[in-house]
Amino acid sequence: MRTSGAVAVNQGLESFLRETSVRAFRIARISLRNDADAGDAVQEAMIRMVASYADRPEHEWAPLFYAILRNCVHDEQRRRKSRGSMMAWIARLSGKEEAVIPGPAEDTAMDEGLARLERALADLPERQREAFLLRNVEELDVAQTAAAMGCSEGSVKTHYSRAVHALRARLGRT
Amino acid sequence: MSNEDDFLRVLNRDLRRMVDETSPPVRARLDRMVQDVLQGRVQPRARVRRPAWPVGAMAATLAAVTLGLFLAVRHEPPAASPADDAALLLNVDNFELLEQMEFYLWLDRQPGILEGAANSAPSVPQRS
Repeated sequence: MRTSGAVAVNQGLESFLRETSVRAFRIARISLRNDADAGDAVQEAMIRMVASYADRPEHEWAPLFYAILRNCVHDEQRRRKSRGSMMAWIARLSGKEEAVIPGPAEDTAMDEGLARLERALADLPERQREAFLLRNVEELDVAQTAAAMGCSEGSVKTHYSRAVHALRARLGRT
Repeated sequence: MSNEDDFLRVLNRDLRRMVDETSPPVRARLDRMVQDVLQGRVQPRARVRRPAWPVGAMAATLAAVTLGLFLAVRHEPPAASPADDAALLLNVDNFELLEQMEFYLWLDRQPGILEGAANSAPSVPQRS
């Protein structure tokens, strides 16, 4: 353990956060469709992880971190929804058009193929998207994915399978 | 290798590329973020919770409407429904009433008949 400012943290946890941050950012970005909001969600997840779960065994970190990140993404979506409702109300009062939520690849330079993939992933139902991304981007196994999503392993398999079929239909690849 | 495996292989390759192609400024920001979190330089944001006031407002409105309906039903005299009126008029015994109603309506439209009838009561013959 080392003390760094106000936080005492295991060296391994620091490595874990550094290695995980980019993948976590990509996962959050697909759900939130915005770089700044995805960054905020990842930062919030790191803060809660360090504050509450730093002393947990290393093999539990990934599912715990992604369970926290899911909550942070949901918080951000709720925050955006209430902000959007307020903006829509103001726009109606002032007779202006409602603000448009930024789409994928707006902030990040990305080629068309990847942008198309990101859009397809973003359009999946939430649970399917989560199961697919945790299994394929973070490479969690079924049990870890179930722990991160707070559901059974059977549900993970169902969501994952549906996600693959939906993506196949959407992207039309063999 | 099946088509499904090929599809997933291509998809996973693209996902890895998506992660690998994260721009250097974003990576630098994430690195700073880890450092800030570990050094306690950032504070958690307030949790977003669903506001309770819409539920309270709906409950209050529902209670007010229920009370209003209850009071209205309690104090208002029972009103005859159109079905009751129709049943009354279609009763065989009331056909005569309908026919007479037509006569009374005609009579009401004749100016001076009722007043004239009252004034022109049969006069008593004068005896000489």
